[in-house]
Amino acid sequence: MDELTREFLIESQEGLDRMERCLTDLEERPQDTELLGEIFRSVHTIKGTTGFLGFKRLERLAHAGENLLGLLRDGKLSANQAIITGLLHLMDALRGILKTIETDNKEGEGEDAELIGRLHELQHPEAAVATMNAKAAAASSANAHTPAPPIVHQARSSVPAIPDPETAPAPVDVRGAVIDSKPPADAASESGKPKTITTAASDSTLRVDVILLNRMMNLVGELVLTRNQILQATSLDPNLTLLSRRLDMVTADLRESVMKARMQPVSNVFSKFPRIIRDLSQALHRKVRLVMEGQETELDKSLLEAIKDPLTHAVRNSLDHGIEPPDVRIAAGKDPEGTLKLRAYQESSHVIIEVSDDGAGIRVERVRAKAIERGLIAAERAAQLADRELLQLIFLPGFSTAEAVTNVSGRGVGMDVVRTNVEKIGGKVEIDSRAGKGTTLRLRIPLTLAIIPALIVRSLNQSFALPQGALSELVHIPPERASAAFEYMEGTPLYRLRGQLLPLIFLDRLLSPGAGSTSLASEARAERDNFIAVLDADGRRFGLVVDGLADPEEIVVKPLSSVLKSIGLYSGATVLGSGDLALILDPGSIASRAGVALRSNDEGHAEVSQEEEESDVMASRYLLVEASERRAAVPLGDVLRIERLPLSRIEYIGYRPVLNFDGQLLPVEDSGGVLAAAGGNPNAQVTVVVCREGTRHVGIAVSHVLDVAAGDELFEAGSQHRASGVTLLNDQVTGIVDLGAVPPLPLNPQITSPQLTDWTTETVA
Amino acid sequence: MTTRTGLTLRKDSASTVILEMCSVRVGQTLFGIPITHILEIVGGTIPQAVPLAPSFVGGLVHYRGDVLTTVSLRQLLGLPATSGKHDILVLESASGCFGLLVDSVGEVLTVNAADHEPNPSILDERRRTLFDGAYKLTEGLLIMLDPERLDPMRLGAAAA
Amino acid sequence: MRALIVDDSRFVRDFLRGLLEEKGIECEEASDGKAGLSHLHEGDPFDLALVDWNMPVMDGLDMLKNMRAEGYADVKVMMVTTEAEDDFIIRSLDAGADEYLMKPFDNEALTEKLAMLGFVEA
Repeated sequence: MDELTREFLIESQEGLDRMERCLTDLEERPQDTELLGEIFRSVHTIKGTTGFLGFKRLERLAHAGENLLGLLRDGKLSANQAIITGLLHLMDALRGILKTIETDNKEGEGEDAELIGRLHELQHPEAAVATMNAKAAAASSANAHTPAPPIVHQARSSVPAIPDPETAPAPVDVRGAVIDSKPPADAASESGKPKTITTAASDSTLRVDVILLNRMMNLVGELVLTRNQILQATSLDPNLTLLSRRLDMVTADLRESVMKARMQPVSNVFSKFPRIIRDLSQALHRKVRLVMEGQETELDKSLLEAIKDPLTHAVRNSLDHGIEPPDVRIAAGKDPEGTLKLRAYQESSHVIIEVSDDGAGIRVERVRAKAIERGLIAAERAAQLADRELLQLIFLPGFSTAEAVTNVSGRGVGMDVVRTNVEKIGGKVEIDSRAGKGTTLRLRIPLTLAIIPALIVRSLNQSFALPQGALSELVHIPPERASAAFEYMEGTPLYRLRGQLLPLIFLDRLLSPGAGSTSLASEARAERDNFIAVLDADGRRFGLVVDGLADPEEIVVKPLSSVLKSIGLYSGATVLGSGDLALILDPGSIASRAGVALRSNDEGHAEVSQEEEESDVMASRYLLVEASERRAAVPLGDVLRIERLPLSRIEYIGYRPVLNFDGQLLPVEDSGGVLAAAGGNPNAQVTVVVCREGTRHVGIAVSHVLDVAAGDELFEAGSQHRASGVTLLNDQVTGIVDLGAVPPLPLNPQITSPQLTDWTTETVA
Repeated sequence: MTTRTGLTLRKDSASTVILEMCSVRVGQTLFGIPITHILEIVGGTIPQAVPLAPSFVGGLVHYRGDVLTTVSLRQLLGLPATSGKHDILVLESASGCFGLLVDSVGEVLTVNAADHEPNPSILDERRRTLFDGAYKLTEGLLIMLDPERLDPMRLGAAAA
Repeated sequence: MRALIVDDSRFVRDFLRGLLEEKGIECEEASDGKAGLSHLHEGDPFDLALVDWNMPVMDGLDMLKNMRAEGYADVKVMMVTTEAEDDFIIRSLDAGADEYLMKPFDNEALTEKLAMLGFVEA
């Protein structure tokens, strides 16, 4: 395809995107001349330019649309539902032809006479009404109850009525109202030329080839690796510390800039929904108000592509199963108009996208009944599941709560697809629902794909990287506890985690199946430390037993050759800060290979009742730390990450130790005397647990991080008063670090903003 | 990126075609690889083992931002594995780059195309698929390797 | 010889630039009338402006009127438009346009109009 034709396609698609947004706004403000002017111009430009290339079909269609739009713009005709529907059809038809041109370089065959005829008819309102009446008379009387169009509200809208060309979506996003998940790379290879992403014409932006951007991202990844290696190599040399810290900062900045170049606002995806919701609410006879928030939130382009489908599913589900028909809502004492809210915001290294509705909610009894009926769970087990767990069942393949099979979400597709797609890109899906009140689906998407936080584990004298997204906690099994800790049921190793039986996979045994007998291996196991990484992957929960743990790292994911990928245990490889290569373990594949069943199918009775009590898991879990031989607990929910760094990184303001983190200072609490104990030796390594305390961040200096454990509440003897400041961890009474007691820095108490996140951050799972 | 050193094919006279081969040694045997296929030679590296990989895989090495799968020529020939450092030839094949693990890399030899002999029929099946004939040198034979046939993807498909 | 292309369609700008540069005419681009005026205000003078009619922010007719009002009398203006209505052509000629060109056009049509203005040999 030549450059001009491609230019034409990109521009026309951009124009249609603008047209789509304006059309949905037009429903609300049918007299808005600016909107009408914008829509007119989009079609007009297509008509004007298509003649240069001889696309006659496109030209005829655009011309018919332009005539109608000209009347609207000049105020000779006012927009009504029929006209808007006609224009939407025109838009779809134009998109269809553009798509054909993109793939075949030809307009393709198609019959447009009917649409052109209708667009002509619409120019004469009397005639159009007559036609509609005739049709209505012929059709059943049900047509009389056409629901009112949805009103689109854009809270904190970043898309003005006349769209800023810079925020106009890239042409690769244009796939019509039906979302096509095909990645743009495929389309590019089809046309045999690399595809360019584009922002609309603007003097301050330029278009960059996605391939070039990916290459840049790769190179930055390399730089991050080299930086990590240099940091390790120079950590003992105070002369180089300053230099390497500078390198550190520049690299972080550069990485952020390149990542930013790949970022696109979620509005690129959100902008499809007004139309989808409009069509769906009409088809389903619902009244829906759409509220969108945080459209300016940005996400890596490839991730944005990947969440389109899951989001569409989720939105469809909300309309189909969530928001009730107006009469039902009125009967329930609700506003007949339901609210569907799309909200995006950033939370540390994730973007959260919420789809929430104020509909009927999910009735857990129905979920229970359905799951039993479909054989997804045994009746007696289902009876013991807590509401929260019952809700999770809807993510199982083959589950649907739809009362009727509708053509909207169909039966049995939906939530499992949502979960699979989101987990594929390293994200997580959570659901909250209250019967009668509504449902919120929350997608947690990592900011970027190429660099992920990982825990480095050791097994077979080799390092492996374990993506932190799948990690839920770590359990340390000291040698003396090994023989008691690992239990066997018919040869299947298990561990009792707070009363639940957790299936175990020994990484060394998995990776060298032939090596030694089981008894020999377990003898060796009893002589050394073992660590259980508790993993949640693809709905499976299991413990991966490894020999050792190293510090978490941000790793750059490198693809593996197909020969090694086909082993089915590794998702990639990476270069560690030490310079060693490490294979990246794929927890989902490991689980399925080792035969760990889906969680809901596999849960025993005992574990369930335990879990039920834990309404808020994070609140009762603690990071167990040791500072100068004293143990203390830090609430896990407050822990942002754990840093291991040379003592020389700690600086002092007066007598207060502080950590300079990319220009942000955080106070370091040293009540354990760890820093003092390290003395003046700048080469000594110290561990700082970085925590959130209100709106600030504080660091706690510790000697070691021992474990993550659930704390049991303690009650003061003879009373029902909950003892504060202490918890029972691993059967020991342990003091909880009071983060609030860390005094603010004398300089500026607000200096650490909540966005203290960059490549160095390690989020504790 | 590619370090294709010099021309590999030049006509000295009407009858002789001179080719340049990189010589490598595995065990006692001298092998040749056309230097046109060699991107780079990386000396003295220890590849990272990949548990559960097919036996011909010599491990992973870090090469210019990518993680390369290496093929162990020793393993392919059924020779006992040696530990420690290896020389690696980074080769280019139709499906991408890979590393070839050898005991040591020698000098570049020039050979005369006319001295090429096809694989002898007595060669075992495995070697017949790996070797691409040999050149008769004054000091012995230079057994030719065809990078395409050493491609891990192809070896993997053959093993499956 | 310098030309200013004012059109909100990137496609048309690229197309025009291609044809004009072949004739050795140096080009600058603007995507609406207002941006077009700022190009005139800043930098080297232009000999010719090719101006689209329907554009966001400021349309071609308003740009033309502004140009003439601001005294850019020696810049020839060629209106480039899809509008076949005589009405528009007359309005723009009234407002001081020197020539008009109907979309879609080809090299021949453009050359002919440029020749009328004396920029190229027909």
